[in-house]
Amino acid sequence: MSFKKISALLLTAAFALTVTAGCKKKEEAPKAEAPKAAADTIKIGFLGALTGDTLPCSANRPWKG
Amino acid sequence: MFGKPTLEGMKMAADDINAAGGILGKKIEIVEADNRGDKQEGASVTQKLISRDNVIAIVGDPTTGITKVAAPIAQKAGVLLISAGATGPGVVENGDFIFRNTLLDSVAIPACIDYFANDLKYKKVAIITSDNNDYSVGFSQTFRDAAKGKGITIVADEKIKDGDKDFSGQITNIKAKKPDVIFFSGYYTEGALIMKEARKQGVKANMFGGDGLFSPEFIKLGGSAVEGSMSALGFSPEQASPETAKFIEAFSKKFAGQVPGLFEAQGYDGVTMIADAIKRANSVDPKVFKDAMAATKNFQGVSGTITIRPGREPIKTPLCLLAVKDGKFALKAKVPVKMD
Repeated sequence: MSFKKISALLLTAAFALTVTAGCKKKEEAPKAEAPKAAADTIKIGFLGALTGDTLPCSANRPWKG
Repeated sequence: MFGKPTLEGMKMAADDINAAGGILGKKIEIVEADNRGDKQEGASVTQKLISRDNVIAIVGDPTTGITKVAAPIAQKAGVLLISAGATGPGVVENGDFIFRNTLLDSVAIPACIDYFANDLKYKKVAIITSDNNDYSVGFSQTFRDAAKGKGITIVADEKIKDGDKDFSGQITNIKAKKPDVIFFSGYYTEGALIMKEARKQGVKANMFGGDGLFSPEFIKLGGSAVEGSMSALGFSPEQASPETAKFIEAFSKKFAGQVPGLFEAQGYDGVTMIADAIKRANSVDPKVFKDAMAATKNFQGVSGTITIRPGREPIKTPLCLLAVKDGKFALKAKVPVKMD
């Protein structure tokens, strides 16, 4: 294989890699926007009993338990 | 279900904040996690709130037991947690991301003793402790410690057990000492039966206790014997401050005439305290706004004026002293708590 052919093959491979990388970059773009959208909201968690048996002690004062 | 009132208060706070434009241009979203009153489930849903839902802060749990499970998880993840109800030890000790906004007995009792000594002119107190109840044992000790140097003498220090029915021996001892008030650190069932025995033996003194007495069952069981008995609480809708009155009116409008109580108010304040800390810190990063939360001073909450002290424990004023009047608990006095 001549030097010219090898150079042409390498250039083609490099081009293909660049195109592929570009495509991947475009695919990842929406993922980058997701945290930005989430950051528009401040999420505060509620932790408590909404169902089930809450009571280790009396029905009126489980917060002591 | 004490989660429901806490959640209702939180949702209302979020709605109010969002209607006013949010915080730092962002809306608040409340993410619900039902722990079903179970410690294992509490750990699991706390983890989900943090890793799946990406919350930056958590309000809850109202109970000490589950808060003690959730707090180390939040601390490790660097998420701020404020309990709107837990009063027991082992909560804020988990680290610098952990807070609470409920009035502690160690703060409430000295204020009550000052009120008894200065306003009601009480000089002699009889204590009754349920010695198979850890909470009662600790609460009585808090009272003994707080009474020192206040001009109040403990003239009797009796013991009972949860589940006892006969208190004639203890009341006979107490009657001989003629106390101005009987401090009972236990629960409403024994409290009501003690007062029935007290009246039977002609003891004139009323009972005073914590939220363990605050139950319709106390009145149902005790009848006329508990008229005048008192319970100390962190919230009352009566004689409300302008902030609290506005909250009560708006809450009742939003929730079909329902009057908010302690948990609704503390849930509301949990969210507004977090929002206030974020605003002062100008950051939604818990590592940053936790320091602003720790520096909270004289925050005008709907459950009272709140200052976070070193150690991330709250001090709140006023304390609400309720007394049974005509078969119902009614506000007797709003007792100021020293904020320094």
